[in-house]
Amino acid sequence: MIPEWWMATTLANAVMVVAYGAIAYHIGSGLTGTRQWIANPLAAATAGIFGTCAIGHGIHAFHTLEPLFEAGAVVGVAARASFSDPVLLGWDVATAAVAVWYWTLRGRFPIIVRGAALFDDLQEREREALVLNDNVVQGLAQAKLALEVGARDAANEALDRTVAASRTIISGLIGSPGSEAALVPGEFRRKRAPGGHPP
Amino acid sequence: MTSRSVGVLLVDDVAGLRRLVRIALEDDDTYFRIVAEASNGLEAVEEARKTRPDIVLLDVSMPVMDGLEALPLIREASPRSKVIMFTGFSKERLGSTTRDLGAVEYLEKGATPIELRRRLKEVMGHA
Repeated sequence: MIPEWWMATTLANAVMVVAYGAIAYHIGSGLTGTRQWIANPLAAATAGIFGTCAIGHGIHAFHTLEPLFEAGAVVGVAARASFSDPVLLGWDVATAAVAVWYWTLRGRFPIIVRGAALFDDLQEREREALVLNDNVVQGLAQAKLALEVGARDAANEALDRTVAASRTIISGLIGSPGSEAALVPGEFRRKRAPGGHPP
Repeated sequence: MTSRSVGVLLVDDVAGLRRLVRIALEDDDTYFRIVAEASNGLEAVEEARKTRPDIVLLDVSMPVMDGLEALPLIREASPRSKVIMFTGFSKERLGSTTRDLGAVEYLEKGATPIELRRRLKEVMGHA
């Protein structure tokens, strides 16, 4: 078989199918594992984009191979002619290179590609919200109710517990004990006044 | 005011808070009567089945079974009970979800005893 330009374009599309398909699969399996197909529409849409692109480029590549099966020869010949366009070839090679590059970034930037990691942030936020609710909001509500019914000791006990819990939570959020080095002067400059209003 | 007191099932994993809510509600002569307490959703379903309370005051975040899981089961176990959510989460965030699951009212923790009693009476149609 004599090499022709459309073959290079088909190969580039095949590379895109594999890279995009792998990315979509990883994001999709992460969504399935964490049951967040509905709860995380951004990630679901991202998986959808990569998945549909993989299918689309697969169809393009398949068309060029159709003459091998005789059926669809007309479409196949047209596809080969189209794929022989040097501009299209250049763009498809560039796109394939970017797809592979994106895939190779998954190790360094798991939040971009690796399925579960894309959603760990969301789950972590939910966990933190629950911790804040259970330890801070509940404690303050309990203290307030205790004061309202005149149970001063119970109010003090709830407030002491809440202050201690808040301190622990906040210390955890700003870094583990071994990571104080990251807390340099300026890190604690307040961007919002207490209560959420700009200072 | 009715002659019969309103039976309340208190569901919260914090014993101290249950004790305070009991004081807050039972302070209002004999209108409210705490018929049972539960510290998680599973216990709440069982207590609702046994005691058939008029009102279930239901927390959301609890061990074993949370309030959102327990809510439809409580409705099934005691269909005439009115479930009122009593939680630290904002109504904006969970109000519509709990309403869809069958809760008739949503109270954010931090309400005063007067407010608590008033809202419960409203639910019973005795405000």
